[in-house]
Order: sequence, then structure tokens, then C-alpha cells
Amino acid sequence: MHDRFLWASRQRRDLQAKAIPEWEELREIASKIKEHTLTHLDRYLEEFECNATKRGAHVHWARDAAEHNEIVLSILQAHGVEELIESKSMLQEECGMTHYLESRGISVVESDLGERIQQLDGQPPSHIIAPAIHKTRQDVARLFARTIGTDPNNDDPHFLTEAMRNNARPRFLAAGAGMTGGNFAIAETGTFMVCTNEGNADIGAAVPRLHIASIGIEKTIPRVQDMGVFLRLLTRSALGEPATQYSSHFTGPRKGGELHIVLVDNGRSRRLGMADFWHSLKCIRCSACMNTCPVYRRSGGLAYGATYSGPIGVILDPTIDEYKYSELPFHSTLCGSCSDVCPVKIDISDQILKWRRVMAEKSYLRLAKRLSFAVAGHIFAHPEEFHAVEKTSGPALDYTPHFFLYNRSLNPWGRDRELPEMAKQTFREWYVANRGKEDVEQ
Amino acid sequence: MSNSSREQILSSIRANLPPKRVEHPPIPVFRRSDVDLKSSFERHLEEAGGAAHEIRKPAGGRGKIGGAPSKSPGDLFGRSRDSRDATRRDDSRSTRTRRCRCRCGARTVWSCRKRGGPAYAGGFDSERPGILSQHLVVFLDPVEIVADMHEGYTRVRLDQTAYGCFMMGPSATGDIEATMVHGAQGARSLNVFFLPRNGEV
Amino acid sequence: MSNSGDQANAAAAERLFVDIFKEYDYIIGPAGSCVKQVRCHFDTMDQTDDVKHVREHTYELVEFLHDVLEIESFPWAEFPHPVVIHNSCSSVRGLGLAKPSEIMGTPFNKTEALLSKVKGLVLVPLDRPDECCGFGGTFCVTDEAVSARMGFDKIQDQLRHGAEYVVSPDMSCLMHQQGVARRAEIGLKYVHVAQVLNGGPY
Repeated sequence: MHDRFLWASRQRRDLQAKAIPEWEELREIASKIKEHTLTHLDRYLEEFECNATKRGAHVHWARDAAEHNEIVLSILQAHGVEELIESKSMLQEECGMTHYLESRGISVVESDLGERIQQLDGQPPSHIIAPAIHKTRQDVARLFARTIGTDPNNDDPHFLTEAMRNNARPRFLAAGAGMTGGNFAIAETGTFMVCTNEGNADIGAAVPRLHIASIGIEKTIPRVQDMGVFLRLLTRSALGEPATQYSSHFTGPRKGGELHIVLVDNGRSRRLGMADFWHSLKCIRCSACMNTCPVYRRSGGLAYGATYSGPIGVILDPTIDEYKYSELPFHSTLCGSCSDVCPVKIDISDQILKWRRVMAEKSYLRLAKRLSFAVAGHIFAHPEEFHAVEKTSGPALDYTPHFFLYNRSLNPWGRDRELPEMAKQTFREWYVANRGKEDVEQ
Repeated sequence: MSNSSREQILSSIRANLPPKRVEHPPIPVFRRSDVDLKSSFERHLEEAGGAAHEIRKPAGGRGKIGGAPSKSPGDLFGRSRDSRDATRRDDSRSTRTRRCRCRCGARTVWSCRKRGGPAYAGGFDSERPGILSQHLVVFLDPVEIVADMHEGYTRVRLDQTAYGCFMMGPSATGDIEATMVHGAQGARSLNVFFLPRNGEV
Repeated sequence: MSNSGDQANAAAAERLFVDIFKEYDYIIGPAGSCVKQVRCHFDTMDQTDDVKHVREHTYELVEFLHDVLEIESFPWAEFPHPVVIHNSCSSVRGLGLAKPSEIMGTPFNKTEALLSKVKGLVLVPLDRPDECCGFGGTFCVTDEAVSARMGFDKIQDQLRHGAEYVVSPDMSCLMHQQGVARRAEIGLKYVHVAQVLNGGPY
């Protein structure tokens, strides 16, 4: 089911892309805008800060997750906020902000339906755009019955969504502050943009007097005119729709309100210096790579055990903790589809291979793999040994007992597959016999 | 202190900037096909769950808003002045409606069916609480419909308003089993009335 | 090994390959994944003239027949069966043998172009024409469950469209799919494109 839903997103994405003759050109332009911005990042961040401040926003800088959380806490405490309503933000998830604030007496309520479902269930989001896509409607019905008192037998998504709407509205009104992330930060005007389908960012930003936005430094783009390119690519890539229902632009606080922007580094500037991996900073968090990834679709996001999952997670997470995430780059077949759908042309598949090289060099590969590769490396480098193995393995397979060949621990291949039948002759033997010895190289 | 955090982050960036600088690419004007922008816009809006209507005079809007009691745009405008009060009441059963004038609409071509894109409503400065309305009514002069988002962005001045939104349709979500549901958090309906600027109430 | 990042152990084999084939004008490999390795990933060793020559002159069989020899017919071949092409990831995204379905542009498929010249052969489509089948080198044993699932889904797609034979330029993919099919007791037959274009043996 997870596979079917996300494949459907991929198909809708293809249809949308096909309808735009300049699609591949747009990808190239978006990629170059991001590369330009990142190679001039300091300048554009200063410009953004200057313009946002001119319009009345307070701009803060956080070196890491801890500092981000401290800054947010101090703003909330200064305003006496006890309950905060928040719109979906992967960055806030990355910083562990919710747990930090709740353990210090501030209640955090998710406003996005998928995020709220996960929050009520005590789980992190499993997909960037659709955090609860791995749950069935029955799962959600049972969860809502348990947590907000609805009828457990009513699993109609319309009913469940309405129930959440009615549950959330009073909380929007009661919240002392609203928090959002930011999809893009436009340097030219000091504007940041949030794209939602529910309009929850708009409510969260407009109703409480205090609005705090957490934005990763890599979200910066130079000019308003650049936004056209990204908006045309973002939702088509993510959901296969021309745009989200709401593409909201915030420039300075509203009348009578207060706006705080927290620009967050948390390893991004360090990643900028990684020659092989800095292109991952171009990411606009669309999730097209997840929707196309045959491994992700069959595993689900929670299987990755990290804030960022799917192909983008595989190349991002090792920059956060190389050892902890040393296995992630191997959960891929290197099929390359992710690189092809990425709207900003991140070379995701190539980076996955490069991470494998890093892991191998640092001896993070499992012992069994290292040993078998050492043996294989030796055999492939010595033709006489290779031929010897060729000659003996065929007959050996014929004589090896079935239970040994298909032992589930010793031979994972055999768990769900039959072993191939070995040909009676190797190609070399056939060639020598049929084409003559003089053609064969000594 | 935040000042030194700022300096540390900027220094870290400068120390890590990739050696090869990349120039900003030019953004071409993309060739448009000869398409009726207005009907494109209408069709796209409908696909996103909204609705478009023609009116000759403001009073002609009576009875056209789905799911709400018949009201003329004039009445609606009157009501929106009370929107700040409305948000303090439990408005889950009321049909408070917010009305606004749109800066421009952008059409977006989609496959073999032409679609309209988002309508930009700016200037919510003093009336943002209206965002909690159950229904949203937008007035749009059809001559202001543009072909794509590139053009759309040339028509708006982001630095002149605290909040501006490109809207495709009413609030929606597909978070439960990818089933599309309208009226998730924000407006349950989005109704666009084509009204030339000089027909304003 | 190289695909798993173990360049240290792969290096000697890569050097041997260059040594053996450096004198040849055309080096043909009937395996998309192997040729992709040479052309795209022999990049960690010193790029001497010999290495560059070998990388630039290694071709996969289909692309050699299609682009270099420009073969127009296979008069010795006949294959009157419904056939589905397995478009392997290496051949499509690594070597450009076909337009990937997720890239926008004019569709083309070199394997299809060659097979359409074989008498009697009927090509059938797939719902997911170039989704990975799950082989992925050592992935098939390290992530065995997901790999098998991917293989099984691929086979179901092939069955749904009435294929009798699955033909591909990539033996490793065929071996994986065949293994899954036989375990599931599904009678699809898996053959390499060279066998079909050559008129056998099967």
C-alpha cells in the first residue's frame, strides 16, 4: 500500500513534468541558482538578514541544534508562552525541539494532520510530505478514538480530518505563539516562504501574536524572480500537483504582531566544505527521491532510523554522524532514479557510492563483507586462480547438499530465490572449442 | 551571544565555500502557447477544489457560494469587518466568510487540459485573523490573469506587505491513505468571482 | 566490490582489466552493469592514457550493435514469443541505452530497436518499465527481503502483461529475477539479448 501510494505520486509527477516542455531546462536552472547561492552563501545570508530586519523581523543565528532550541525557548519565555502551535518543519524535527520544549514546560501542538497523527502516536514522521502515509485509515481511527475521543469504527478520512480540524481550532486560538519552518528565504526582500496544503502555517502565523520561523541557512535564494522557477518545480515533484493550496510569503511581522527568524547552521556550513557532498545542500525537501526509490517505497521512512530518510537521508545523515549512519549507504541498489527526479539535480546516486567508499576506507564495512571482498579481489586479480575457481565451482554446486546451499544464515540468496543452474561449459571453454585456439589470447 | 554566533557561522561558511564559484543563470522567458487564460484558470481552480463565478454587479453574487447561506459580496464585505470578533467565538458552525481583492491570477498549463493556477491575495496586514474564516471569497479582474508563476511574481511586491499568499484552492490534505479531503484547517471553500476593478463595491 | 565502495580490493582487478584490453579498439561486454563500472566508475585509479582509452572504448553489446555497427537486420534469428524487455538500471541510467521514464524528452530504446528486427518477436509493455528489479550487487544478499520483494513485484508486472520471455542486456538482473520466479514456481523464461539476436542457444 505504501508502495502503491508513493508510486502514484511519482506517476502524477511524471504527468505534470511532461506537460511542461521546459521541464529539464527548469531543473538545470534551479540547480544552477542553488549552486550560485551556496557558493556565495555568506553574502546572501547577510542580505536576507538586512532586508528582513528592515521590515521589522528579529533575526537570530544558531550554530547548532542546541542553540536553536535555547533561542526559541528564550523568546517563548520572554513572552510568557505556555502553548505553541507548530506547522511542519523538518529542521525543528532535526533539532529535537519539541522534546526540548516539552521537558521545559511548554506544550507543542502539531497543526499539520500527518504530523499531529504521528505526535499523538509518539512516533516521528516517516515521510517529509506525508508523515503518516504508512498508517491505514483504521490505524488513524483507532488512534483518534484513543486520544481525542472519536468513534473508533468511523475510519472515513473526511470524518477523521474534520475531527482534527475541530480539535485543532481552539488550540490555534489559545496558543501563545505559532512556529513554522521556511521552504525558501529570499535575500532580495527578506521574505520567507512556506508551502502547505492545509493552510496551517498561515493560521499558525496569523492568529497568535508571536510568530517564530526556523530556517536552515541553505534555504536562501537570491531574488524574487528565482521563486518562479522553484515554485513550478516543487509541488509537481513532490505531489504531482501544480502547486500547494497555499504558497505563503512572510515579510516582517503583521500589524500588531512580532516575528522572529532563527537561521540555523547545525553542520550545514561544514558540509559546504565537503567536495563530494556539498551538493546535497541544494535540497528543497520535495521528497521526489523518496517517491521514486524502490527501496524506500518498500521499507518506509521509519526503517532508516534518522530524521531524514530515503535517498536524500542516505547522503545527509552520514554528515551528521558518520559511524551511526555508516550502513545507510548500502540500503540502495544504486538504480539512479533519485538523481533523475531531483528538481535541483543533486547527484544523489553518485553520492551514495562515494559514501560507500568513505565507509570502506574507514573500515565501517561489516567483517564478513571485508573478508569476502579481500578474497574476491585476490581471485579477480589473478586469472589462473579465477579459471580454477570457475572449473571447480560448477561441479561443487552439483554435489553440495541442498540443506547447506539453502541454509538461511549461510546463504541469504537462497531464502527467497533458487540458485542459478551452472552451465556445463564456461564461455571460454566453448569459444576455444568452437572458434579455434589461435583466436584466444595467451 | 547571538552576535558571535552570527560571526562564527559566517566565518565557517567563508572557510568552507567551494573553490569554484557558480554564476547566477539567466532565466529565459518561456514561450507561451496560444491559450485562453481565463478558462484555463477556471478549470485549474475547479480541479484544486475551488469554484469560479461570473458576476456583473456585486449583488449578483447572491446564492453562489457553496455550503453557505446566500449572501451578496456586499454583505460579505460587511461581515468581514467583524472577522476579528468572529475568530474569538467558536466558529465551527458559523459561516463566516472572508472577502478580498486579488492582485493577479496565474494560469498553469497542465497536460491536455488547461488549468489556472493560484490567485495571489496580498495585503492581509491588518486583517489576518480573517484567515480562520470557514469560507473564502476572492474578487479577480480577469485581465490580471497571467500565464505562469514567473509572470505572477513580476506582478507582486513582496516587500510591501507582511503576508501574501498564492492560493490554489481551499484547504486540503491527503495525509490519511493519500485520500484528498478539502477543508482541512483553513477555508472549506474558495470561490473566485470575476469582477473588473471598476466594479468594486 | 567497487559498488560496495571497497576500492582497495577492487583496484587490482581493475588494473588487470586495463592491462589486458588496452591494445584493443573496441572492448565489448554483454553486461550493462559491468560496462557501466568501467565507463563510469573506473575513476579512482590514475587516469593514464591506457585507462582513458579502455574507459572510452568499452561498449555494452546492444549499444555496439546499435550505434557502432548499426545492424539493420538479424536474418538468422526468429523468436515468435511475447517478450518483455527488462530495462536494467545500469543500461538505462548508466549507459543511456533508453530514455529513463522519469526524464522528459523523446523516448528511445536501443534494445527495443534491435529486438523489433527479430522475426516473430512480439514486445509487451510493463506498468513500471524501468523500476529496479532489486539485484543491486551485494544488496541482493545484504537487504535480501527488500531485494526479493522488488524482484517479485517485477515478475508480477511481467506476468500481468502476458510475457513469456524476459530479455535483457544484463545477466545479473536476469539471474536474480529467475531465482525469484523459480522459487515462486512461475514459468517465465529469462534470456540474455545476445541469445535472441544470435538465434540461440537457449
